[in-house]
Amino acid sequence: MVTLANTYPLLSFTFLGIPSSANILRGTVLLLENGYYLVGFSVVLASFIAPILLFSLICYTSLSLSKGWKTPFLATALHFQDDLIHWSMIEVYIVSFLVALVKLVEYADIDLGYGLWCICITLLLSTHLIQRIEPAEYWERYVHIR
Amino acid sequence: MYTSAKQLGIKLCRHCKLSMPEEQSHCQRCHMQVHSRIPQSLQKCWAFIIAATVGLFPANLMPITVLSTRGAPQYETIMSGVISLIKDDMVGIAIVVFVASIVVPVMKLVGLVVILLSLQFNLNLNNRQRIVVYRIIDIIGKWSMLDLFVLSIMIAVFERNNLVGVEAGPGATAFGAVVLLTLFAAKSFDTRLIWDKQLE
Ligand SMILES: [Zn+2]
Repeated sequence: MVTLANTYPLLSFTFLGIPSSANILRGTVLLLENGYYLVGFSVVLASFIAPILLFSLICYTSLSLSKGWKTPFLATALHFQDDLIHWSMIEVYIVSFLVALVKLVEYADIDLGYGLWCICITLLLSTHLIQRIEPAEYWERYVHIR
Repeated sequence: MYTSAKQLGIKLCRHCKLSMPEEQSHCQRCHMQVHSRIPQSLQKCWAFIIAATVGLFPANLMPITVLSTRGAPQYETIMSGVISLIKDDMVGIAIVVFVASIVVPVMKLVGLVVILLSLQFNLNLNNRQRIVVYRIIDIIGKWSMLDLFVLSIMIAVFERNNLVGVEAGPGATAFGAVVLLTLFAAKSFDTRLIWDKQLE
């Protein structure tokens, strides 16, 4: 879902007859191209890399721990998972998007893209998921399967 | 009165929340190095606070966005962006942007300074007040990324547009640095130092 949210156009709109569409990755690529490495990197980390890694790690660790499989790098994955929770800022991103949307209304006619709905769903799922994660519980199970 | 784990010779692994005797250097469950308290927590926190405070000046004074319309390029700082939103009758959005990019970073720095000073000079703040301030700082922290996200969305939207171009300005880097520094400052502070002070 996060992948979809970041690659699908967030909104397509017509600007004085010229159609154009946008997604956040394109914005960060442009930032990096113009030499804004710090800004571009932190934006792409918080809105794209961290959430994707976080969700894949959660799938990986939850699956291994619940099935009792001794999968490789499990401890490293668990450590990363705890750190990434702080860097995943999907909820901030969605509010930013709404702010940008309101700013854009004065420039153009706006059609909301599928990306927006993907983000809304991701937001609901991720806040629900992160609230339920208890790192200590993962580690307790980890000891049992070693 | 109460007793802290440190006084009992026990320490907690911050990664997996396993408690162990003080003399053990690594966690037996997750194999990470374990410290009873974050080493040099106060010094690190001060360093990040000072660096972030210095960064606040270029972040607020230099333009973070450059709008190029058909005429001369228009430089916008954070504050002038907020003002132009108010002028355009978008007071709600103006408040959101103002709070996220100016109030939040400044409040974080002020809050941390208050906690640190109150610990170092025994000012009249009780532990509950200190921890409430810290919790607020911790929760609001990530919201200061908002303006940078908005910026990157705007850049993408106007990429292939001949009439209006949006680019980042030098203030954006300074602002990004401030946001990261305040996040690190909050992380480097060890809340357990608050109770240590009272038990001394
Ligand atoms: Zn541990």
